[in-house]
Amino acid sequence: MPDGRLVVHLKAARTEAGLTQAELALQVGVTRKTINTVENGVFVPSTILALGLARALGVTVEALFSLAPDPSSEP
Amino acid sequence: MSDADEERIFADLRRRAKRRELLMLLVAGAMAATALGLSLPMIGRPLRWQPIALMFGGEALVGAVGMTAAWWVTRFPPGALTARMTLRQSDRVQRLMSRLYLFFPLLIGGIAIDWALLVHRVLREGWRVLDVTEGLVFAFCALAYVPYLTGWGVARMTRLIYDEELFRSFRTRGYIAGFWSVMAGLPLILALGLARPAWAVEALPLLIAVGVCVPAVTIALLNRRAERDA
Repeated sequence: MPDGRLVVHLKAARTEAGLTQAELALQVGVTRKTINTVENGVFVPSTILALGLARALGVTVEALFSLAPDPSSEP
Repeated sequence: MSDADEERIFADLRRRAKRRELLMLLVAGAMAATALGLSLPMIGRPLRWQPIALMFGGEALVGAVGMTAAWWVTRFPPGALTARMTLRQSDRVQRLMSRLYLFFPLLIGGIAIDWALLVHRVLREGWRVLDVTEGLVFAFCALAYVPYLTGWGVARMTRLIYDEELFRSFRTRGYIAGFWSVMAGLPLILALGLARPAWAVEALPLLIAVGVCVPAVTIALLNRRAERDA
């Protein structure tokens, strides 16, 4: 399910690593569509998948996903 | 295993699948010929259950033997299809699943209408009115839901895709949509039952069909939407 608070940097990290969606999917053991929907923000991955993606790309989970600033906490 | 090795195995599997399709068509032809051959002696004679049972039995026997043989001759070598190779084919498999799920309302809708009509006859005239053919249709209607409920028939490797995180989330959303559609239909059934109890029983197969078709169509539509790039 999409969640507006989540900012996804997966596509940038994947492109930087020189991988296609299909190649990354094979490394992580999921379908290409899963990678596509995570990149598009349509699907929020589980913690295990997020960790798997970070490991496959050699980055931290925070480099792939971050939380959008909470508008209610702004002065 | 190198990409070239995998491509070679894919080519072999595709060849086997094509051969299997051809053999299945031949088996279907043999089944039709058997049914036709066994029904010829019935022409012009009063309808009795024994020849009908023989016709169905013969057809089923030819089908079972033929399909088992076709499967055996073209079976994939054990362990040929690895998880990695299945994932490489996932786009194709998911597209096929979507198409199948979109076809569900036609298939299940037809079965449900048949079922509702039989229920109507049984309620009006009792179980004895059902002849062998109708009894078989009735049993088929009831059994048609078993694979759906249990997930039988999903190949071991296809299950890898079926149980994968994204598809599981689609299935969850589909089941929730199905639950709500059934919940919405239940008061209608209740109202029908209050007006005339038999109507409620007759309408139940249709509600079951809604409960099956709504998840299937929801999953197919979610799957299609997931194909789109941002």
